[in-house]
Amino acid sequence: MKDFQILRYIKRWRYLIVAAMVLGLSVFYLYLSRQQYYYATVNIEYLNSGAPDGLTPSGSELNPEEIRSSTIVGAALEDTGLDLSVDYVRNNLSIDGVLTSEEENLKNALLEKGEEYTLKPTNYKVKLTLNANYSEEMAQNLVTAIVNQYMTWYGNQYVISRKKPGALDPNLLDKYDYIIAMDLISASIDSMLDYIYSCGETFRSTQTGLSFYDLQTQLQMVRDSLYEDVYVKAINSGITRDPQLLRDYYTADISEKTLQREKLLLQAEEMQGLLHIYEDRMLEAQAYSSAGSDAEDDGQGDASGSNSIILNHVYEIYDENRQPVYSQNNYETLMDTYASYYASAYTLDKKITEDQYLLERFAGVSQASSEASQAQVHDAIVGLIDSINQIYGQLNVVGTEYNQSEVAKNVRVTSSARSYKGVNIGLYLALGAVLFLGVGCTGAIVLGRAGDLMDYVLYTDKVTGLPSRTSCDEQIEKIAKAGALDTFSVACLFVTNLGEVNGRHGREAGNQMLAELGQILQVTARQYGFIGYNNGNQFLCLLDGCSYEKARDMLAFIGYELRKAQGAIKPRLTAKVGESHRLSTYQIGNLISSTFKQEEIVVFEPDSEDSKGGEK
Amino acid sequence: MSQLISRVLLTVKKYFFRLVLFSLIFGAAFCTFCYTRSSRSASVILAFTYPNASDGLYPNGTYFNAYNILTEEVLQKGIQNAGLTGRVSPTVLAEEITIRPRSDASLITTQYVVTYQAGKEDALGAVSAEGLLSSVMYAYIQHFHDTYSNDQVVLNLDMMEDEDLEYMDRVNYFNVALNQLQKYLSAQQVNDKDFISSDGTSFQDLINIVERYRTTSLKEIKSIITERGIAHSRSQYTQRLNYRIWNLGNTYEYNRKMQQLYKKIIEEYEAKLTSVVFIPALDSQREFYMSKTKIGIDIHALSATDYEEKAEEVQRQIKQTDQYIDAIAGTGGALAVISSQRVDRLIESLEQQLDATMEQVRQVEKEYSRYKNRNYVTVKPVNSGFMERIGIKKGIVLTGALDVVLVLYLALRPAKRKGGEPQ
Repeated sequence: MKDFQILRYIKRWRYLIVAAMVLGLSVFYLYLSRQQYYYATVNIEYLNSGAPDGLTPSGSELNPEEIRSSTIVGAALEDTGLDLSVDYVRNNLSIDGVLTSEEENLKNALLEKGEEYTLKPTNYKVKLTLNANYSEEMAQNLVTAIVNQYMTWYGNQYVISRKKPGALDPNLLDKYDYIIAMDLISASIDSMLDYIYSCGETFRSTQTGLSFYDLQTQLQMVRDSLYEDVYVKAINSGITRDPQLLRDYYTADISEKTLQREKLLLQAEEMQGLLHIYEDRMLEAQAYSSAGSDAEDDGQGDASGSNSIILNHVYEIYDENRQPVYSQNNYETLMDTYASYYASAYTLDKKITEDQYLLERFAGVSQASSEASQAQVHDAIVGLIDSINQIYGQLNVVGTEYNQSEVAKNVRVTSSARSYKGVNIGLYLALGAVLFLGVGCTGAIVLGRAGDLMDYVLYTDKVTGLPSRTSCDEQIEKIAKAGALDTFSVACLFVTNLGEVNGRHGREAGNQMLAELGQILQVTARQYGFIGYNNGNQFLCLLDGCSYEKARDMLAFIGYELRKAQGAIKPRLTAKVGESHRLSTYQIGNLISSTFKQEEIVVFEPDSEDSKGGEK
Repeated sequence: MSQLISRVLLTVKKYFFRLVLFSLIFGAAFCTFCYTRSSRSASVILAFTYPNASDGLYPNGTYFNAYNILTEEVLQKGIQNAGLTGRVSPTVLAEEITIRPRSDASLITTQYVVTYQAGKEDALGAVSAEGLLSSVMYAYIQHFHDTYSNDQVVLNLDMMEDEDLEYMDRVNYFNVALNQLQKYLSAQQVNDKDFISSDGTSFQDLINIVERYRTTSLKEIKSIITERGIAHSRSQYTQRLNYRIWNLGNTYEYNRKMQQLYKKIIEEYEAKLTSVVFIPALDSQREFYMSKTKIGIDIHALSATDYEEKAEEVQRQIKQTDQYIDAIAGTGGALAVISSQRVDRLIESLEQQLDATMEQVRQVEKEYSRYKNRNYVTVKPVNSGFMERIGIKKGIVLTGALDVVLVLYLALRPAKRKGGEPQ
């Protein structure tokens, strides 16, 4: 059997190995490409004091899963202009709580003590995963937009308690008479001013260059000049579409407000009565309590009870919405309510007086104003609404910017969005290449060795260990297929004394002699080319690239080796040699035939003792 | 293996010059390709160094978002700056620009690598990729300062300049504008007390100018208007003032009632239920004194005082308006015309002075903004070296890899026979 030469096997199958590797890697690449996914993460932290207890600034339960809501995801998709389904994004968005090292330590310490750990994470990781159809960039962009949308939404929902007023309806005059519309405009200005007061006047927007103070003073100026001018013109000229309807409106308004006022005054009287009862009972209770405690202490009671209660702690009390409850006792609350009834009644008084003033002004108006007068006031009111809505537009921008800055104090991003590839295709391909190459080479070695084994079984002569006649035929066919020969020699070796040896020493001795000759020829074949056993005591040497002289050298080498051999019985070996150029024959079949016609050369002539062998 | 190595070495020896030649030709071709390609791509490092940047906020305290670079407004402006309007679309450009955090640290990134790779559709013409990216960055920095960083005052001066408005309304608009300007300048002065512009103007100087307008020029105009009873439409304006007096009267009544209410409430408190506790505290001079706990009476007393002050202020306004009405009624003829003309001149002069002051404010604002924002956003180009542009490292690695493959092929390929059957 042939030697175990790894390189020979690999070399034999190299193209197949490379082709299999390329094909395998292509399929692997396609598979990995389909399995590829991209994910981007952002870390956020809730900063409000109730966050560790799982509460939002407004006191409701903190639920970071709201980031996955369709409202937020939908708005983020609209922001980025990405063509993705809201549900797909929602399904691939995860929000996980992250405990900081301090929180982790605290948790472990409490658990070790056997206490319950109730604090909730304030840090969360928002992770968005997109499949192979999208990109890393897209994941990063989208997760940033989602978090930004969430921040705005969270701010409006839980941080910003004051609500922005709405803009004025530009078609107000289509629905209301002029004076009523002016009342509504006045109310709208008041609500905008209330909103500004609640925000504080110092904030200045970088987008508009305006501060709340600027907007407040602008609104006040509009009210004191434009509004007043139009209003007085309308009142003094009695501008109306339907005077009777207007009078009815204000008469009804006065009646309603008067009823409310009476109700408030009645409630105030009731409250006064309640306060007197409350005061009496509280004084009695205080005197009793004070007397009891003094009797226990030193027996000197004090009717005022001023030293009766000293609190150990100052409490901060919260209502069900986690809003701080002012530490105010019931007596103060009752007193406040009592005052508020009167205050509301006085506000109604003021409004009733305003309505009565209007009624007086329109008392003498019997018909609708002329179209020209109406048009003049109409245009003035439209101009006024336009001016106010311009200011409102600016207020909206400033308010939004203010809200954003307020929200940033309650929830913040702790790490910028970063995106990653889920599958490292390059690494997997490199590993795949190594794997395919390894498998290919191993397969080539196994197959090559198996081929060697098969060759040995099918194509090796068992006595000489050389390729059999079948193998010689295949070799001849293979050479023939390769085309015309270049320098090529054929040598036929003949063992002429085999019959004599068989007859004299037995068949086993003949086989032994052939085996020893086979070993020498195997060594020779490695240096010169193919040598096979052609049956009939013949050996066929097919020597590619071998000149006639070199072929003779080979015969001399074989003769030399036979002389050196230790075997008892040696073969008588003759040869016929043919070379392609020498015989001008370049087809293997012809060259072999021509070779048999050449003169026989004695390669080795054994001594008589060698031939006799054991008889010696 | 040793057989393989010896074969490889023999092959290298045999084909050495041809291999060197191949490497040089392939390497040169690859580097040329990289160089050509690099002219259609550019990268910059965008760094944010303002105080809030590491908290993920803009200078104005709102949330930072690096992807605002890719907004249509910024890209359109960048394309316009580069002179490529109509040749490069903002939508396509947005897809060709990538923004990546510069580091992988799990903190808020303040540095980003912005890369632009021109697509086939982009007709850059004579403009390089670096040129277009720089234009976009310039547009972004402008947008950044305008939207998130600049602190500029915007005054609505239209109403003051409306000559159809009543004199007193115009004066009031002036007053409002001066108040707005003064507040803005005071806030800027608090931010940076030491800032002085190149012409030696400080915020305090501007505050003084505005204060002077208010206390002298405007006061003078106002006094002429009220003392001489100047009005465009005397009867109409008188009606307005009468309504105002009526309205103020109504408000005065309300304030008085509220003041009386809180007095009454205080009186109704039962003395024995309003015990107080004295607590040692520090006063404004950091001296110890005994402070008492706050109770409802304190709050109601303050409310009563507040309403009393309001009522008095309303009373003052009523008197002032009354005098103005009297003045309007008592004037007329040539004197009123002369006075009106004088007021017109004074208002015009004040308008001019205010315009000049606003110019000065803008200049100081601009310089202050430049000084304050000088390092807020910085842009630094990357990959501008020649060796990096020709992709020298990649070229060497790729050529080397190809040489290895080639040598292995040559070493392992089967030997071919030469010649053939002669005819």
